[in-house]
Amino acid sequence: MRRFLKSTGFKIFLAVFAALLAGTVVAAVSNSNSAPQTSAAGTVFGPLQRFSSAISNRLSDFSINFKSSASLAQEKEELKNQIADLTDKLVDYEQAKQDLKLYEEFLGVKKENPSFVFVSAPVIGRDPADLFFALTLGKGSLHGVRVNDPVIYGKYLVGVVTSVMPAQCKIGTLLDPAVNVGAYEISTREGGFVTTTGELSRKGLCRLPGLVKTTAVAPGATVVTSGIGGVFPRNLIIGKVNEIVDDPADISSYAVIEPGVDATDLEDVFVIVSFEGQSGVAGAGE
Amino acid sequence: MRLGAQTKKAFLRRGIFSGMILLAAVLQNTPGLFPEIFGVPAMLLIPAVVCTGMYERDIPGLFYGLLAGVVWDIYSAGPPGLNAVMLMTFGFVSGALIGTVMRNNLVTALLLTASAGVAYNTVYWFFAFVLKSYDGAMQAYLTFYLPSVLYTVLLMPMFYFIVKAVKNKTG
Repeated sequence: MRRFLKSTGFKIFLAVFAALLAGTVVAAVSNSNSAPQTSAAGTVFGPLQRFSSAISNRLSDFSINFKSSASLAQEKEELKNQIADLTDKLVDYEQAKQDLKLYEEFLGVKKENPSFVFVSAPVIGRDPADLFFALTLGKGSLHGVRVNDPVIYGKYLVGVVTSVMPAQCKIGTLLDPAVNVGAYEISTREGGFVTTTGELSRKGLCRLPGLVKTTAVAPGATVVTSGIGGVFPRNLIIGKVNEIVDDPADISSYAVIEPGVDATDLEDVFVIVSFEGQSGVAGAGE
Repeated sequence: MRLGAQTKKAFLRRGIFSGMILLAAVLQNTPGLFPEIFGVPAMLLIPAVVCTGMYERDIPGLFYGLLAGVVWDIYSAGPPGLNAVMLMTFGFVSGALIGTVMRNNLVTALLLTASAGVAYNTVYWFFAFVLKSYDGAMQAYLTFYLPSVLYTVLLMPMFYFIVKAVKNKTG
């Protein structure tokens, strides 16, 4: 044991360990929330990430082709090719239709909010160990993204930037209990902040606590951002109320909310890097 | 300067192992690329680092672990640098144990991967749930983190035999 502790290998291990810990300390005190070695690796491996993400997106197209070919295996070769070709076109058409819908929504958001400055960003990764659906986007500080910038998909709020590297950033979604968003229900104007809990997050839900027992908020109501705090702009859609539950902790109720977008199904999002009334508050959400 | 045959083989081997680790990182961290079982993902980098450390010994194992950890940190929602520290330790410890007190075989690989998997997931869970006092912590540990260890261990032989074959071919 003594010989092992005095070995070169163990000394190298301690040196690297100390360097990594120093990197972690630097990350903790910096504005980017990202360790220097992670930022460097992110810059080097950025193209690889984008390539793998593109492959992943194409794989869903491949499965459609594969299914079509398999089910028509007995048909003539020419007919199969024709079907595969048409399937390809259909996939492209559906993709284009989806993109068009997305850009139309963004155009609508932009028209309603001329002060918004967007950066479009592909979703390039997800941490398999994270249960709260944190995502890595393919845009970073080089593109003007900063910690606490809101992330949207159409008119829907997805989450907030939690750390930034030069070419990537990480976002916490509405399903992360650390993310709090000032919000109100549009018909009753009852407000508070939307957050989630460990258990609700696993069901893909969040909640609006602090409602009075006799609340007029009903299932199906829409909850939007209030803009209070200056982290999120006003009137981005968070989601719809699923149910109203009596809070066992006190005499209030809370609304269980289903977010408007499925964080697990996103390929592209927009980061709002600037908007009227934005503050430079640090930390996740408001 | 001309490289000797052994040096060439060593470079080739290190290149292949580094490529394998990068491929595992891409498969593991790209949404939709590697199948999840009932929402439970595999953490492919853990067996990749452990098996490489077992065949390459402590110091190279440390650097393979460092590479894997730094790449994982790009995607990680956990504390900054946690993956680099953890995987570097797994690579180093695997190599050191095989070099001193353990035999290099599939059973040992299973044991080391399972231990590394439990250690990683427990530490991650501690930072993600316990330290922040989130509810449902134990349920998350039992229904997500431990099954993830099991899924990861099941995939370990694939890495073990790849690393073994590369090592045998390249000395």
